[in-house]
Amino acid sequence: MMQLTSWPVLLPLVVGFIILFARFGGLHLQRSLSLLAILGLIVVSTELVKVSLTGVHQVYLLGNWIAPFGIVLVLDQLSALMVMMTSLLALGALWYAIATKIDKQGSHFHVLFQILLFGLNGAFMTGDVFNLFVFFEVLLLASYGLLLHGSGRLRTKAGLHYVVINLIGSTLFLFAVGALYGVVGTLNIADMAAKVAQAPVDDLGLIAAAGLLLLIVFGLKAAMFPLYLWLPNAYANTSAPVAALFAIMTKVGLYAIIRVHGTVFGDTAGELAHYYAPWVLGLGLMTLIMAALGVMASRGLREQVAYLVLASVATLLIGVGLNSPQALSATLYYLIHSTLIAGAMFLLADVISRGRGVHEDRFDSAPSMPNAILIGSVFMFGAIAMAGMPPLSGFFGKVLILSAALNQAWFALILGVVLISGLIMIISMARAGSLLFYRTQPSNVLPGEALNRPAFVAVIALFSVSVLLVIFANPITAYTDVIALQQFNSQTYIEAVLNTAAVTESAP
Amino acid sequence: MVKAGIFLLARFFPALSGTPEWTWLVGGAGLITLIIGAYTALFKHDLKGLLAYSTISHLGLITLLFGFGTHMAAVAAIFHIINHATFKASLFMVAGIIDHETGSRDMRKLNGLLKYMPHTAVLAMIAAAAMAGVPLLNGFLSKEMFFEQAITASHASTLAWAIPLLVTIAAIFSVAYSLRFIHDVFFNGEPIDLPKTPHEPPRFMKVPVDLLVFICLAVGIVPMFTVAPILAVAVAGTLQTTPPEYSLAIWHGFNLPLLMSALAIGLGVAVYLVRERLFVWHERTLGRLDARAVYNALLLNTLRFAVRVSRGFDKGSLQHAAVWLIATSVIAGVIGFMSMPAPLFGEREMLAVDAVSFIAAMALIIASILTVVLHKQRLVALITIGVVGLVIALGFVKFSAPDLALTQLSVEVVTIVLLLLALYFLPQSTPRETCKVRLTRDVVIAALSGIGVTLLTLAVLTREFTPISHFFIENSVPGGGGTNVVNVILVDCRGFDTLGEIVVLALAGLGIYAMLEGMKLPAPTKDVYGRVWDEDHHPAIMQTLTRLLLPLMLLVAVYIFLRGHNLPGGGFIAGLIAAIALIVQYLANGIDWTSERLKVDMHWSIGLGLLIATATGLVAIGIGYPFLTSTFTYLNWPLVGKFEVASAIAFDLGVFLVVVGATVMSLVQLGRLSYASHHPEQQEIK
Amino acid sequence: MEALIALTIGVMTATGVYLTLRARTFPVVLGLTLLAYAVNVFLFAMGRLTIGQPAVIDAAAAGYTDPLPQALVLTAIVIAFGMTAFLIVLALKARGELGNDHVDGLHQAKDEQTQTKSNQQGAKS
Repeated sequence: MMQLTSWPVLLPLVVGFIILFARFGGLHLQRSLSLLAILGLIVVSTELVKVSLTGVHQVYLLGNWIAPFGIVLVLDQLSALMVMMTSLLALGALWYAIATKIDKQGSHFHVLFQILLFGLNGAFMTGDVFNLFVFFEVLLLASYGLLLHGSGRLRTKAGLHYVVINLIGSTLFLFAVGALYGVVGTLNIADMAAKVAQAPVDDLGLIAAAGLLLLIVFGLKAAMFPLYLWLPNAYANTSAPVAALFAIMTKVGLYAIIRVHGTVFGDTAGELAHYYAPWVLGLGLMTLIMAALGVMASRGLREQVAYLVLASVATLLIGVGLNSPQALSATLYYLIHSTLIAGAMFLLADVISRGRGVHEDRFDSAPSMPNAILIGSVFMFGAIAMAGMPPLSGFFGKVLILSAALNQAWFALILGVVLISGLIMIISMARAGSLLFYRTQPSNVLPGEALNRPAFVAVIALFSVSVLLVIFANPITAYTDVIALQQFNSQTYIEAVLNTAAVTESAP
Repeated sequence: MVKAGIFLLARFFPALSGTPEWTWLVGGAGLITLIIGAYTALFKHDLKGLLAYSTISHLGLITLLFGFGTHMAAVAAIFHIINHATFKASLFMVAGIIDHETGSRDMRKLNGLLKYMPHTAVLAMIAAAAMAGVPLLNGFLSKEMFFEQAITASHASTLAWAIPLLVTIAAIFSVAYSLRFIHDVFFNGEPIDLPKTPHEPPRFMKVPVDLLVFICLAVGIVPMFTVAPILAVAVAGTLQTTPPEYSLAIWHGFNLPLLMSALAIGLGVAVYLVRERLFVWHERTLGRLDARAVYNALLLNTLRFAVRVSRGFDKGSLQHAAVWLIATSVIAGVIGFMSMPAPLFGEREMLAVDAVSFIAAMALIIASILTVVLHKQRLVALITIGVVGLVIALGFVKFSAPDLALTQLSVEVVTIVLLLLALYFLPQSTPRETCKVRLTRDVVIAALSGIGVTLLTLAVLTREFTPISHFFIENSVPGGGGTNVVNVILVDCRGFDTLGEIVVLALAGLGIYAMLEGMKLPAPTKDVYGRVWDEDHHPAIMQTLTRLLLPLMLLVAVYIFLRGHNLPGGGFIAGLIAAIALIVQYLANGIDWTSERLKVDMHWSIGLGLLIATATGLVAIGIGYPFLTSTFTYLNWPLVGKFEVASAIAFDLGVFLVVVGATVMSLVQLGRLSYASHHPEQQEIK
Repeated sequence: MEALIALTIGVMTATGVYLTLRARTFPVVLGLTLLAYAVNVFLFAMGRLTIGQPAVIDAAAAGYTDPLPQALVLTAIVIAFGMTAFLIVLALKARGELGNDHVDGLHQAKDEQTQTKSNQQGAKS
């Protein structure tokens, strides 16, 4: 039972290097292992969600060293949700990669895939700031490898930019963590929160500065204005399953803000309580404006979807910046929606690109693709979900976030920005859809490859989540309400981590 | 789907209503929609077009009601939502029936259908009358409530008197187009060349309309027994408070709303009578305003704007992105600090500067600056940056960090070798940049970040703090079983970090392997001074010497490895030393010779290393402790001390293997690339 | 002494930032290496500076330095090494595929002029 908390981290790690050995056993073996591991991960994360619903924080003392001295993994409702979503998205992406044989295009796809999951889950579970840095590096390096998987000039260039920008970000991360350690003398998030609460007034300026530097680091991962410049090219130029999986990568940054800033600068932080929130809100609004313009200005579908991901991140940042349990609950609902739907959209963009042959995903007139009606309908579905139109989940997510914004001083501005950018996105996607599906050139030959049906299953499966999110809106929002309340009650998190005792006798 | 927007308004209502922004924004939008919709509907010759614009107009009406922000207005809005749904649905079905039976929806052709489809005509007449707001029908009731609210709202401000006037105008048009729907289609002469001869539709098409029209009548005549309960539920749900008192009676006596209704009907009929002249006038003036063209122009301009802003910011330039990132960080740091009233520096006493440190620091500063100044000559810059790394290693020795010094030193060596190998394939110098603005910008940002970091460092170092470190010093021996506290932290307390770290290293190795696999790079034939690269074989003295050195260096590695837990050293440093020993063999003897004798695929080393390190942790899980628990502390085995050391060493051995594997793999792969570029005739060597 | 160290870190940061903002891959790698040095020393200094008190348990020791930042720096050094190695090989890959070593894949950026003959040869070969 106690060990369960460590599984989402250890499982992909162990499978990752088993696959490394399995490379001598051929691709089939690697694929089966990879798929099995993710199915296992889904089972584990379901268990984790169940356990987390008891409302008790599960604190796992790695090496049996008590906090704050050792590293802890913390399972609460939020981390359980993130792990669950990661594994669902990963299944879709992996399935697509296998069905389209994209995993064959270079070495170590499955190893990198599993290690990326190790990094993601580690980042979601860890309760230690420096360990978070290490996991960021793990998932970044895995993502570098995956991003470059396959080949292509644009991909290499995008990869180079992505790597350099993130290396600068890593340096910044260390500056921020170092400064925090230098002032409060600890690395554990819970302990840091406790120490910040008691920090002398003279130290607050330094803590605030380090906290904002950390916000910039997380904002970089989350693709917050003006730090999102790495995203559009990286996402538009990598292979589809990798881009789909990357839909969760921006959420890591967002999660880190909720986890680290929400805890360290939560209600307990005195003068510094929630001081970061207006920043997140303001920059979130800026991001949304830029994202909407980017969606409109896109030259191809993949670029457009990349900007749509940016828009969803912006909406989430606004939700986090609103800084109330109600807003956080709405944010989490939108998070589930946007992550899985964005992943599906990247896969769909690849399906369309394959169907259009040399025209790829560019917004120009091409002969009609095979199965245009089916793909077009799915595209319309995705566009409605993504742009936040009724009756799909994107609409409800946005409505929930907006209704949480109503008691804010800036509500008119927030409402205006969200609604207008939503309108711009709807118009742009309608334009894209009509270019891709209606204004086709008459031609007897099909321009691209036929629809890969097994691969398409992954797209449909991920999209169907949107429907489920609407049908089960009630229980799901009830669930996110509970998560948000637990997250806002940072005192219980702090106490749970700092009061967990070491295992004293062997109890298997 | 149109109702969804209204639904949204209804949901927002309790929280928002009453604020002036809400009234202006929502009410204004509603009023404009109401009028434009009603006006446009009259001039649509398509039946469905008429109904569509009428729908827009009614949605505007509902929005306006929500905009009023009073509870009574909300009641009216909800009531009208229900009513509108019934009569509009029946009208759309009627339009569908007519289209189906006649093959046309053009009101200029559809005339006198009364005698062909009397049943449908009656239904349409009732529904359209409801839409027009004729008494005894449901539309009348909610419209009366609407007028009443408009009158109430007119007291709000000096300009608000226009509201009742404007809504009455809208109502006039509403009556006119309702009348047109009936008169133009069912009366007004004979049909003009319709594709089909019209007749009554089959029964199943009429039944739903029958039902809806019945509801219109029932609600209109006996509202208390029909719609009241539904309305009560909906109102309670929207307002989330006790609903206000409202009356659903048909007759409220002679009052202003009734007058407005009468006026609307009367003038509506009048407008319809002069419709022909109105149509002509409309065609000549407003009809020319092509909404589509306006929309397209608007779209094009927005698109241009979007492209300009979006591409202006997202230039696809790495330097641009990096500047934003670094500048934002500097700004964030400064603002963060300024946000709290706190002094920049603390009062902690500083150490005195001694001559050696001063010289070392100066060397570091000079070497860093030289790296920048000379960076265009890449090889030279590589040497100066090497100096920086070495001086830092010395600094670590000075400030009580022997482990760091050893690590820094060995990493430095490997990094420089790596960069040297890579530089071989890159241009040997960097072109000069001429853009003064960019150079100045970069110097300013660099200087600002330098100053920022200096101040940040000083701000921390001048403050006292109480770190958690005493715990590690106290527990290193009893808890971790080693006297080298740094090593105990690395392999025990924070072993999870180390695990992540070797995963990073392993991935770097694998990633490099994957990238270099199949990569072909043309190697330069001459160096920067135009000299031809030496193609000679490896010098014999060097070969002999390195072969002799190998066992010695490996021995050193083992020694460093073994003492790691208690004295400076450990798996990482040992791994690097062993890697250097192996790489030297490749360098001195060539890849062929070495690969033949060292038949280990470095994948195995990496995989095995990860396996051992993880397995050490998993053993703990197997016996019921958390992952990575060192066995020493908790198992009371007879040979406690020794067993403990073995456990930590196993983890460190994993580190060692990964370090050797990843480092050798990267460097050898790179070396192989340079070998292949000089021997293109030979295939890649396994 | 603290001021001296702070200044050193500042200079390394400034030079690192400047080089990171250059247009060619090799200077960028050098810049990031300098930044990594700077942040490693910074991280190390966060445990406060002590002379002659290593973190090795010894009955005779007068005191100990803060061991935790040292462990962190060790981890950071290794990670930075892995990243540098990866980046430089990526730079080679970019040079191979894009045909030049400009970070944006431009053969001759607007604001650059080639200085020496040999460089032109290098770029062509």
